[in-house]
Amino acid sequence: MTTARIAGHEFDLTPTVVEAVAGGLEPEPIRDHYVVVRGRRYPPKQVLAAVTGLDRADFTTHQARAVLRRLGLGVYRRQAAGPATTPSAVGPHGGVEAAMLDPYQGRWVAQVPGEVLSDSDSPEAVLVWLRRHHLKARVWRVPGSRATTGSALSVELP
Amino acid sequence: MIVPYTELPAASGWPRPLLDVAVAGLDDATFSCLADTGSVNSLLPAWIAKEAGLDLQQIEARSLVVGGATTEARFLPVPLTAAAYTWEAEVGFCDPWPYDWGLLGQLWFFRYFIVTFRAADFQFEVVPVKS
Repeated sequence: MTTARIAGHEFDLTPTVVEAVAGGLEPEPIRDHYVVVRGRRYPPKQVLAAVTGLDRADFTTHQARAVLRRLGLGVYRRQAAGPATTPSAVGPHGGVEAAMLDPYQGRWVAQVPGEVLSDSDSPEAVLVWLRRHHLKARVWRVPGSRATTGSALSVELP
Repeated sequence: MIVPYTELPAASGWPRPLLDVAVAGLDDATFSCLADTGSVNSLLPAWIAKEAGLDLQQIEARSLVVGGATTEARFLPVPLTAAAYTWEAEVGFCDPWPYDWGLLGQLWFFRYFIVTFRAADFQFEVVPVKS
């Protein structure tokens, strides 16, 4: 357990609580920093505000990053090296794209080069997210197995 | 235009030649499609037609077997944009569609483009056929 003092309040936080709260959040667009919770990326202030109930104006991104890092969560800067991965070295990006997509297997994603913006169970939800945030991206489902990687001799039935 | 293959998680195997396709009427997103030389038709999931505001209700469904699975396809001419080109294709909008991406096939894609696969370099080149 980590005790954090934020905006004059003390909070006893655990990774389990943060994971449970973050699991119910729809990640917002990432600006400069993000925290990875169960394979999904969130703005640090979004997570800390949800966990503490504080207004985001009550603390800084620096504070949020520090608290989340103390809880053992991975906190990174966008466009810098992300979570440690083991690229397969197979592919045009040396396996980096594959490693990035790995946590999203079976999920619908909105992807731009080098980054997954959002993910969901359904393509419609991904589109709603893009529209809400006025963003445009490639939408597809990251394969979870070879069974859904359609490559087809398509045949018309009589 | 030269397009890099899309890398996939290890469980799904080798990188694939996916092309991002925009369907007229659906401006928020492109949808990834496999440049699939083995497919005759160009096929997309039916939810894309709905999001693009296309009405499939009056179109007769045709039964297709795609990759071993049976689906109902409703074919409709629709402008597609990919690799900086726009062309009109008769797309089969399919329900159900169990696959992760759409298919660009011989009739309405390879017919109009010279596609050169350079698998050793994990890229493919898409150039429109001069008409």
